[in-house]
Amino acid sequence: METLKVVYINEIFKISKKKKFIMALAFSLFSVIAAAIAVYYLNNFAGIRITSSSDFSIMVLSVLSYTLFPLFIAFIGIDMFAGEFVDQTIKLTLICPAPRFKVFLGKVLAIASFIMANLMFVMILSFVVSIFISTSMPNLLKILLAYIMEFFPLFVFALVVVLISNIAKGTSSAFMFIIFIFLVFNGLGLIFPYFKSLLFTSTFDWYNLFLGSYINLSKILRTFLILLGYSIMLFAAGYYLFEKKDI
Amino acid sequence: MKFNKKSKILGMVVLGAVILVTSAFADIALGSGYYNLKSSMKTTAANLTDDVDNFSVDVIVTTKVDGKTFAESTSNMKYDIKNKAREESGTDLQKGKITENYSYHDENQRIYKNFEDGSYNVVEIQKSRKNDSKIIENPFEEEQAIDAEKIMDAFVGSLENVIQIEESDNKKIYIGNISDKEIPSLVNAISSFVFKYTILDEWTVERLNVPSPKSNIYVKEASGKAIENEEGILESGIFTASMAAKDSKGTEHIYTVEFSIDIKDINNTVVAAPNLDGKEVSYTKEGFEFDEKFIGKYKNNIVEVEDNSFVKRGERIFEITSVEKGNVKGRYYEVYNEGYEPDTVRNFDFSTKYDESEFYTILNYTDNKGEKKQGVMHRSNMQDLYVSFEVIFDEDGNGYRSNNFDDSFNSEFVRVFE
Repeated sequence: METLKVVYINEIFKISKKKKFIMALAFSLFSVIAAAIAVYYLNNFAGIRITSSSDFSIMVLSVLSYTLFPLFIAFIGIDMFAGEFVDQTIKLTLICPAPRFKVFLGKVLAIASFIMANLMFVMILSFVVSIFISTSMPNLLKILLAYIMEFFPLFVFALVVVLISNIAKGTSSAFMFIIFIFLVFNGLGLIFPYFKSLLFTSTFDWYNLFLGSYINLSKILRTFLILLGYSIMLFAAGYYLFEKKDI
Repeated sequence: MKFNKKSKILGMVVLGAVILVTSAFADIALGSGYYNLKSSMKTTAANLTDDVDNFSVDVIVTTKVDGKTFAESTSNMKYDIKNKAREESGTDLQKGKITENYSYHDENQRIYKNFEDGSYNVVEIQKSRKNDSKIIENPFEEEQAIDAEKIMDAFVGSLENVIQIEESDNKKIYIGNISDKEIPSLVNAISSFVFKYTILDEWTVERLNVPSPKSNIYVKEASGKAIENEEGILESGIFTASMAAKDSKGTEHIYTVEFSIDIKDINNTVVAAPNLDGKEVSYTKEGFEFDEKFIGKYKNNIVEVEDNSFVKRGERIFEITSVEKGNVKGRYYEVYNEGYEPDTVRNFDFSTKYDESEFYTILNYTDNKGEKKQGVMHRSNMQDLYVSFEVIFDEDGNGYRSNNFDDSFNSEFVRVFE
């Protein structure tokens, strides 16, 4: 456990030193402010109220879930796997007296922490902004629940990134392949909506299941199991490839 | 029994795949309220248009502002699918005034009642309709509906789970309820925009005398309930949607539309033409677009541009020589000024059959090259004609395009009074 903790802290330290981490925060900040300006102007000039106070944070989440969040997860995930193998810095990690499984687990946990940190940063930011653009007080509990729930599908996407990063030879090919997979899965969901339950990208808005007046527990359970199935499968496959990868 | 690392990993992959596939297929098999309701609507439409002999539908649409009704429409529609007949009666309430309406349609006639004097107008249908046409078409088989369904399926997203299904006495009850907090921002924005600029635009607001929505427009709530009977047919449904908006004085108003539908008397509905004995009845004929008064000459000028001036080179003459029971015969010819005759001066006879098309008066002619061709003629103004030659019809016969010999051809023919 102590070894895992050391690996995890080491990976978190590496993420915090990456420019992409700062960029993720900066772009998130910019997106929230741009959305606030758009909502404010539409209400004041076109007379159309796009969101209530609570909905502003949810609206931001619904947009970023398909754009910035996956993009920066892909950047960080590729850097931590394909990137380190390409520039050979993975050697520094692997020469530590930690088994590969713990190194892999530490890296995955670090990515999970990055996802959660990014979600919480956007949530707090959008919450504060929504106070200024609306007269009523936002429902923090509802917003918190939505952002926590969004962690799960983004984590599955992160595991897809990890898997592809361990297959690809370089960072560019890994990035292109991830973008391709992301677009194909979203496209398949649009073309064959009846079968979208099989696609992890269709769960990106599953937080809505928790927000309505009617909570469909059966649907929530099924979606959770789909995400769990994806997580187990991708984690095991990702670890297998990481274990077998030559330095 | 010990497992090596590879087996353990493979076991985990298989376990994950099993959980994923079984959960996903269970999700697909159970479907959502949205997909179940959509399937039920399709079954209902298919049954009513193809499988049953007759049925009745009652529809009520009410629109309210701040709970006060400002417009209401009620209608009772009876369909006889087997005998291709339809009877509709209803009322319309607008600005406190109620107007009634009644109509009857079958393959041979359409009957309308004038409630002001109690008289009837009977339109005798002369043109035979296609034998396979139905008195009511399945809306889900329309191309537009199929495309709209695909778009809705793709973008319904999480809203598909808003509809719940309950079962009671072998009947399925679909219930949906969504508040302003649950409506996606994009849906809210588009609905509000359409509401302000299309549904309640300035002209409609003035006509209906309702407060004009100016600002803070949003979808307040929407709810609905539909009941599916043992045969899988939706027998009733109610739907309510409310929009909130502030007027120019900043006062908030709630605009509500309520819709209810009841499908009843399946295979027990009698559709019969009204008894016109002793009633004041006026008769008109539909399908004979042209009668004897159209016999005569119609012409327009053949014009060219020379030295930046319009110069007349001749005349196009379209002559109707006989009209009998809607069948028209005549001649088209061109007369050129001396010295300006082209290689081909058109001159041919044409004829029409009143029942050749449900929609158009089709000219059949053989052109100067001996090729059989078709054209179309319409009435223009009161006494003139609009004629198109070298016409090619769409496969369904609903539309056409014409080549009209050349670009300078003028389709407007003016009646000649000699």
